[in-house]
Amino acid sequence: MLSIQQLSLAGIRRPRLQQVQLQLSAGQLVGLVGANGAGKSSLLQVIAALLTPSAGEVRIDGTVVTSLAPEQRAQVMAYLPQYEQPQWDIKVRELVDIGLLHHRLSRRQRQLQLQHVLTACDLLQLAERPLSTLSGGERQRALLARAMVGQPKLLLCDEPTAALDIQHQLQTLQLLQQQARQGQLVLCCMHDLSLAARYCDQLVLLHEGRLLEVGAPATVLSDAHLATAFGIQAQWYCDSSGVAWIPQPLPATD
Amino acid sequence: MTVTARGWGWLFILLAVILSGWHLNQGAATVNWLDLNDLQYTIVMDIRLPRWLLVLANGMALGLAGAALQLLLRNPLAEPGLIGVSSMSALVTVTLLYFGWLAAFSWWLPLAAVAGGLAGLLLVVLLAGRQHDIYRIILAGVAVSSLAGSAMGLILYLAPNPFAFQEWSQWTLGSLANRSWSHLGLLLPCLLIGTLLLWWTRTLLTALTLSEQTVATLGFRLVSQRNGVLLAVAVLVAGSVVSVGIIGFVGLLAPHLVRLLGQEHPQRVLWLSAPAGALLLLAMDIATRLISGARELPIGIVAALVGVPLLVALLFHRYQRRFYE
Repeated sequence: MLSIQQLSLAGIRRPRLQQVQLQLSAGQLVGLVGANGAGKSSLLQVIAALLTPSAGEVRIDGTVVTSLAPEQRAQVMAYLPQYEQPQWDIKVRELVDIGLLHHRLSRRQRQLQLQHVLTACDLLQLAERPLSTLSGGERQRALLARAMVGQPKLLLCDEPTAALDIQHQLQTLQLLQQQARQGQLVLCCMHDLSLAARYCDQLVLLHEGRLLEVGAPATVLSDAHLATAFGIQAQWYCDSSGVAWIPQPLPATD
Repeated sequence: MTVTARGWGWLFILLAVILSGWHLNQGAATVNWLDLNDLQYTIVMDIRLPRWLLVLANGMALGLAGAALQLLLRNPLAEPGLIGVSSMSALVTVTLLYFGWLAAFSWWLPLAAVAGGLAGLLLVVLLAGRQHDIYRIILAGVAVSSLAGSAMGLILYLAPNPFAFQEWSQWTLGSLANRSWSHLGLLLPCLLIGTLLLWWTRTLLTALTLSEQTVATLGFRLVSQRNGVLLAVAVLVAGSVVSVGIIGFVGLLAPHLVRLLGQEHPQRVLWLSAPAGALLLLAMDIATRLISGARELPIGIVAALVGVPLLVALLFHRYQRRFYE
């Protein structure tokens, strides 16, 4: 579904992305992990055609993303940036509706789609409330609903759980998992590796702009990879209800 | 009871009708509207009617321009007068008129004023950088306004005409005195073109509730549509400047009046700012003539007297309101 070929992105001191090669199929929640500056956000922005790569290309279902007209691109994918602060104090329903501005829908279809996403994101009760009256978690859900409302094939989220308390982090990830189960490809930058391991079907590990590993969380979060990408070691505890870990710095070497 | 946007629109129109009755009756001569004699007919047709229409059209143009600029820059303090668009329009107009390069009602005049306004706007946007930070925009606007004001002063100071400063004050302070149908003829096409451009770009202004980065992924042709809004603002302001000179603060106050009434959605702010601007300018013009003595005060002075305290209040209000951060 998503195919990234030899993707590079120039940077000021060093390339932000170097020859990234990645194939991802639909229907899964994929976590983009890596240390700060590893290139996670840059990769999402290149996929969303917000940044122009210095080499390589991104294809969705065989079509090069940059060859699509902006309106077509908006039908295929949606992007949720890390820090989004709505400037005007509009209602939740009006915010979510912004995601449909370039979708050619009848009034009825539009209402149905809005209703569907508001229900899925547990926002029906809040639909007529101004954004200023929502908590941080509720506002993040509303922003996520805006990205989801157009039912894009590819949903790109840049740290959707940042600055949320643990309950809202879990709710958000469950929501993204549901989207993936309905056939979308959901690609998320994530910092919390235990949540990434628990909720994501696959992880993509980046290190200094290069792709280090792609695969199931257990494969990607190996001791060697954790040491290389994050400079840490960890003990993992897994049972049927989830994953927990204790990260520690690597022992000092002489 | 909550009043809908349409309800407020009708209320604005009703208030405008009431104020219009007052406005049309202001003046030295008493007019018997049901039985106009020749003199009264001339007074109404040549003085009061064009002035009244000019007030309404200018209020609408400035209200729309202010709202569009605030929505485009995602900045509740953006205003064409405050950020130098009006000054640059006026500078170009005064320069062309003063040196006799164009006649007072030439069709090139609004076009030249549009170019001046656009140059001012681009200069502010370039100086403020990509982030459109609220304070940088204001600072850049102050710089551009001051530059345009000084340039205007210098041109007129160096010119060998003793009436230069009188001419200068008429453009910088804005005046509705001695205006005719010809002035209205310069403004109306600008109002029409500006409104059509804003209609074309209206969805972009709604989307800009979110960051530009997000809007770029929502299917907009960002560059052309953003330029469309900038052109609309420049056209509306230029039409206003060539017809009555600079009138500040209406473009700032009209959208805030709409927001104070609980209408926060960009579309409602945009379109309700037109009648709100007309209403404000109508009230300001009535006040101007009420407080003026034998010599009429420029309306720009009254607009500033009302506008500056409100601008200060808005700046303080910003510290208390989370959502404007």
